[in-house]
Formats: sequence, C-alpha cells, structure tokens
Amino acid sequence: MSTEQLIASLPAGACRSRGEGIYSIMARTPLGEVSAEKLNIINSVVQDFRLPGVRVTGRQRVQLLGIKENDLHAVVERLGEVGEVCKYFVQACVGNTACRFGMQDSLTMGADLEAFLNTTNLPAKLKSGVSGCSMSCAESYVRDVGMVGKKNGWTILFGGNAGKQVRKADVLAESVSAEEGLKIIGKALDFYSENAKKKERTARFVERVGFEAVKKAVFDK
Amino acid sequence: MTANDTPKGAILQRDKKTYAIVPRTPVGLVTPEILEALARVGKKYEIPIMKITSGQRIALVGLEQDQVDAVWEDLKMDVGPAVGLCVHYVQACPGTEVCKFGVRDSLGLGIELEEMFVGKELPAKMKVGVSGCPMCCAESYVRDIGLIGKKKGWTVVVGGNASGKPRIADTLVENLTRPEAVDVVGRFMDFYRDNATKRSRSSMLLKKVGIDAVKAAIL
Repeated sequence: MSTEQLIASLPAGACRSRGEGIYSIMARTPLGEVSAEKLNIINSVVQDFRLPGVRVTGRQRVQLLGIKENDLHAVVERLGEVGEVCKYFVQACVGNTACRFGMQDSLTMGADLEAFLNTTNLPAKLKSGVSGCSMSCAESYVRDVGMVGKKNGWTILFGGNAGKQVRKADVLAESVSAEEGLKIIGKALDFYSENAKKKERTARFVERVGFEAVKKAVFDK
Repeated sequence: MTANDTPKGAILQRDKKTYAIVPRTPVGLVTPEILEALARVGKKYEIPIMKITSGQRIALVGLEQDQVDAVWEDLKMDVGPAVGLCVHYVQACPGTEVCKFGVRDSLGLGIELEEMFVGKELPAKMKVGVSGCPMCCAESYVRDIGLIGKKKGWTVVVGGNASGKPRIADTLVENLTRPEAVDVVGRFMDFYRDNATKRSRSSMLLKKVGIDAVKAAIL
C-alpha cells in the first residue's frame, strides 16, 4: 500500500503531512478518555520509532508528531485505532460522572451525540461541546452545536464559533430531555444542510439567514 | 472537611470522597517519561478515569484521599493549577514547529509564557491561548489573554472567555516581536491584578473599564 492509499484508508484528519516526508498521527481517544493500556501503546510507539514528541491537543486528543514516511505503516499498525470514530468533533467535560458541579451526564450525552452526528452529512466541519453544568467547561457557547446540562434538563445551543471570527451561540431550547435535545439538533442540522453554502460553518450560516429562520425551521414544522 | 485536609493539588469530586489531580503538561507537550509515568500510576492505583481536558492536560480522576500524595510521588510531575486564583495554563497550537499554516512559533512562545506565569496569583483564574496563525486554533479570542501570530508579528488580545458567559477578547496591540509580546502579557497581568476585584475574571474587568483604559494604562 502506498502512503497515499494508507492515508485515504484512515479516518479523515487522522494522518497529516507537514511536508518533507514527515507526518503526524492522531491516536483515537473518544471524548478525551484514555486508559493505562492506551498510554502504554502510545508510549512504546514513541520510543520504538524515536518520535520527537507527542501533543495533548485542545481537542482532547493525543497527536504523535514527526513520523517519517517509512515508519508510517508500522506506526498506524501498532496504534491500532487511529483518528476519529465520529466524522464531527464532540468534546465533553466529565459531568456528573465525577465532577461535583455536574448536573447532567455529559459523557454519555457526548457519546450519544457522536453516534447521532455519524448519521449526518454536513456542508462544513462541525464542532460540538457537551457541558454537564452552566460553567460550560466544554465551551458549549462557542461550538457549532452546544449542550449545557442544567437542573431541569439540557440547554441546546447553535451557531457558536471560537475561531478568528468568534460568535456566541444562540439558545435553541431549554430544559429538554437528552432525546428531545438530539431531535432538535437534528432538525437544526437538517435546515443547515439544506440551506448552507459549501464549507459555510454554522456561525456564518446563522449570521446570513438569521437565527429566527433556524428556530422556525426547528419548531414550526 | 476543611481546606487543610485537601491533599496537594487535588480537586474534591462529586462523591465528596475521591479527588482528581491534573499534572502540569505545558502547552500539551508530553514525553515518553510522562506517558510511562501516567500509564504506570493508572494501572498501579487502578485510577477509574483518565481524561484529556480542554486545557491540553490529562486529568486523573477518582483517587482516594490517601492515594493522592503517593500518586504525586510516583509521577514526579508538577501540579497543573486547576482551581486556584492564578494562571492555570497556557494553551498553544503546533505553529511553525509542525503545522503547514503556522506563521509564528506558538509552541515556543507558549512554553516561555507558561514557565514565566503559571501559578502567578491573580484575582481569579486565568487562561492563555497562543495561536501560530490567524485561524486561531488555540482559540485566542476566547481566552483571558490571547496571542495570534501574524506575518508582521504577534497580536495580543485580552478579556475573552469561552464559558457560560462568553466574551470576545479586545485587541490590545498588534505587530509585536516575541520579547515585546511577553512584556505586554506581563504588564496586562499586573494591571488586572491591581484593578480587578476578587474572583472577577478578566472578561468582567474589560466589560467594566473598556479596552481604551487598559491601553492607556499599559502601552
């Protein structure tokens, strides 16, 4: 298998080239969870291939840097699962599984949202954040799709962005169940998919069509 | 339980019994030694949850009170501040070290700022993000202090926040060299320390005094 074929066979974004025959690989750590076994595997790869470094990314992932083209096949094989399970990025805080402030189970919600997003096909990249309380440690207000756990259920946010043109997300719904929340997100994303330009992120989309239009599409149908 | 009973660098968890700790991993960089140490303690103490956080660190969650000191001893790593009123972390994208879009060395500047300022006591917690190009992968515009690498130099933005009350940072100054940028960051921290009330984040200070007052005071 050629390098191009190998990269094509991996999930999108799992392997990146920085040019000059040097690559990086994302280990698979859904919702940022790692185990001692996974750390051991990553570590043995880093040592055996004498890699210059490993980064913990802001996206709650571990990235192995400086992999030579010749080693790429072997590194991928040793790591086993690489890249994203989900086409779209879901970030979650630890929620009421452990955090004493957690009002809702953000880890389970995050996993359910991942599963749901995998069934969609969107016009641009999408980042989502599921926070277990209003402190919003998963930065839900600056994600395309945000969920915030409160006493009476989930708050659903849409159209946020934390990049160079920051946008604070609008509130689509409050006090909804996990199931209702996913339904609302689904409807908002359907409207977005049908009407957005290619590569237009939700923040720019909401700015263009107006949030009222999104709300109408979600609740008036 | 009083604060004095809380073991070193530990955060009490939901069950009011177990703790989480967050070792310091500046700008998210880890070495084989760190990975090995984390894997070793994860197994040895059967730590129930190890989770990568949004602050480019790895949290160990669910430790018994009497395990905390032993785990720190075993890890031989510094504490990454996670609750105190101080600079918590500096986040950085790969920048020119790795990324083909990188315009400036965000990892290098991030490490420099981390070493200088992490733990520095301030009115409230502080988060810093260093991005190597205007795409802002370190989300500089929603950090207390954000740096953005551009062709002509570093842009410094202040007063951003990504939490439940998000705020877009204001641009303080542009086109700085790296030493100038470090200097401005230090001066903004001092201004914030001297002018904000306790537990008031930089976003609240900026909302109150406005960016022009900050500019007048420190530039």
